[in-house]
Amino acid sequence: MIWSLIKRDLILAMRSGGTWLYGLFFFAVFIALCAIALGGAFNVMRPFAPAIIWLAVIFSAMLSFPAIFQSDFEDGNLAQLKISGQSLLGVCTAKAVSFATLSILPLILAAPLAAILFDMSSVSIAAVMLSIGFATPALAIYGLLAGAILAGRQGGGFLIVLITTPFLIPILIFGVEATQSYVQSGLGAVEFRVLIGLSLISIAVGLPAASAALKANLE
Amino acid sequence: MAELFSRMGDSTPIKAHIEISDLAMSRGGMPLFAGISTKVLNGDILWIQGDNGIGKTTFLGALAGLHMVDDGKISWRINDHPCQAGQITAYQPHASYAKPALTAREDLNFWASLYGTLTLAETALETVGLSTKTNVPTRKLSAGQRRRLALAKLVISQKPIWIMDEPAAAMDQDGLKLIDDLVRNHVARGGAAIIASHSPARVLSQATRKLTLRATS
Repeated sequence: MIWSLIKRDLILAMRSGGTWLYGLFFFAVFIALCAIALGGAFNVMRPFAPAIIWLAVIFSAMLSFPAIFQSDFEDGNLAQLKISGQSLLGVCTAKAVSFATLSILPLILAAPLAAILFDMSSVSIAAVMLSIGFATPALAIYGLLAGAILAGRQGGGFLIVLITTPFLIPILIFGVEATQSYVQSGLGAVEFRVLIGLSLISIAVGLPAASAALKANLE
Repeated sequence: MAELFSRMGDSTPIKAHIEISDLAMSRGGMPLFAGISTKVLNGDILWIQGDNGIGKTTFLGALAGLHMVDDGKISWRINDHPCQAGQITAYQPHASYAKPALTAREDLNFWASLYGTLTLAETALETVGLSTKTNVPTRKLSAGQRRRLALAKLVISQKPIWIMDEPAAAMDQDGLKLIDDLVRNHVARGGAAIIASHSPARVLSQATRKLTLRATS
């Protein structure tokens, strides 16, 4: 059933007229504006590049969080999923996978293009991509948790930012640190282990919490 | 119709029932009705009637396990053992829950894959009269055709108790007959149906009853 739901969400995204790409547009615009604001000199921008790309990822993800459960909640599909006897944990897992595929994966793939703008070395580009990749489960699941808590509430978009910020701060700190230490220590850098740890915690704690929040909202 | 139900086997294997005792519900803090007690067993048809705003939809939602109740109790049972509402009920809400961007076939197949009844999906589409619309996105279907799709989902759910909210709305004469036939066949093989409707209750099985909701004074 998890695979059926993922497949359905991917088909719906492809037929949505490109709304799933808004996050990617926002990511590109944010990075371009940062480059303009910093004056465009490579030697000034290069040290800030990983931090800017990471900020762009976080903001872009936040922009996509409210949509995770919105339409399925409003049109009654979530209620039907619940009463059809499906486990909400499975629903949340499927939603996390489709969110990671539709909203985070495009950012990872676009990161090298952003890196050209900042004249980053190929090692730093790899570091940025890897650090975002390892943090993807945590990014997706904490967004999912906030989306589940606020499903069906008016004006939830603003609260989603407030709820997710504390969860995203450690990811941001270690994500940026990981890109810097990758240059010296490679994947063995301790920051990568912390990122993986954060992702594992999100799977162990965030997913059940999201399914509990969804259950409460469906009653 | 005959083909669809013969593919599903002669009788539903599950002995299911819903027992409602002294139920009271409210919506948004306003009390709706109170003191409802009844029982729905295999082979029953229960028509729910009442004025607009009396709480028919809230009542059906509660029977499907979607709402908390204020007072009283609803218990769902398989072979006299308590179970989750979703194990024995299928719910057709008033509004369509078809995904507008999916075709009728994709939308039905998604639910069929969850229920494990993919083999029934194609026959179900034919039976509800959508065989020429299988590749049409559901957003381009008429209101009545979307209701037919929802009926197909009830059938493929293979759940013993159908809960239907105004299934006749937006349906043509042929569609009304389709609903009656589906319910009659379902009940004949041991299923049960709870139907909210404004049209007069029709006797579709020997155990047809009527429940009229009245406001709490």
